[in-house]
Amino acid sequence: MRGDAPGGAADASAWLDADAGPVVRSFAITGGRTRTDIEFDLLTHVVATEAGPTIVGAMAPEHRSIVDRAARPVSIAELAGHLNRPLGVIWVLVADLYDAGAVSLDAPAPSGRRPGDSTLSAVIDGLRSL
Amino acid sequence: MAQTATAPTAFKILVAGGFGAGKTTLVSSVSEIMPLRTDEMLTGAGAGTDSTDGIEEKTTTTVAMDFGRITLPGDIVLYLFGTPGQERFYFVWDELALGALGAVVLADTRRLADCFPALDYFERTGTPHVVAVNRFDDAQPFGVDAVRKALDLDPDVPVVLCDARRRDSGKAVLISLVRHVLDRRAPRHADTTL
Repeated sequence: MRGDAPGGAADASAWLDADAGPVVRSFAITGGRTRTDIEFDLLTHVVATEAGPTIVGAMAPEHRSIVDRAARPVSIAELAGHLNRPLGVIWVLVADLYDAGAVSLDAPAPSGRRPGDSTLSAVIDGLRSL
Repeated sequence: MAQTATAPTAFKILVAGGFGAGKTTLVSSVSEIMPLRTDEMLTGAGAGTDSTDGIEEKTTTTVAMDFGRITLPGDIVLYLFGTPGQERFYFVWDELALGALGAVVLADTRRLADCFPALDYFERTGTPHVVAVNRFDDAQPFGVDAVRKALDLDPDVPVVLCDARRRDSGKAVLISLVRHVLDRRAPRHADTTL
């Protein structure tokens, strides 16, 4: 189960060979998991659900940090930057939170993939006004 | 999908170029936040083109990407990602380029060839891009036309001069990119309203 405490000692030890650096230790947090079944984008926004702070109380500190940061919508990229963890680790942790109902996800809208001309004009106007 | 708040309309812009061309400087000068750093893990699959190929598959490295953010009126947010330089990190580029609004290729006239890989990549993937010639104090002044010729650019790719340290200059580069995105689609979609 995703919601369970991350992997056992046996799982973690598989990552801790002689080459292990900080990143490998990061993945020990996720029980060695590097893939999720949710498709993430760097700009996917994470936001805590109303029940999020309660749900996450029983989870690992890393999960709690994410829910704290996600009181307002925050991108996966920013979470990785603020929490100083590789993107892959953030993805796994966010997937845990999503499965537990602690966060909801807002992927970049299809309109973001191909924004309308008026949106692009708004970007130009906005940059000019900065 | 979000229930408690609405996420902004977010756009990705890539900032590419050779080592020392000013990628991080540009991101820093236009970002409203201190640039953040994210790391992507270089896995066995990604390490296939590594020069250590054949030595040991288990080598683990990370690829660092610096990024900044610009919030605009209308709940629009631009994210600027400095792309990792080496070609062996192209798998990260694929992720970055997916859904990107466009890219800025920073050129240093003392080492113009350094931006060839980025140009090749964006041409191949059809990512709209502009070339921004970063003016370094000790570099010989190059005209826009000379740079265009030296880089063998498509005629429609904008070339602009910039000073990556200056916010106004960085903003102007971004504006030229977004305008280029608009211009590019105009002929192809002249009869459709988006």
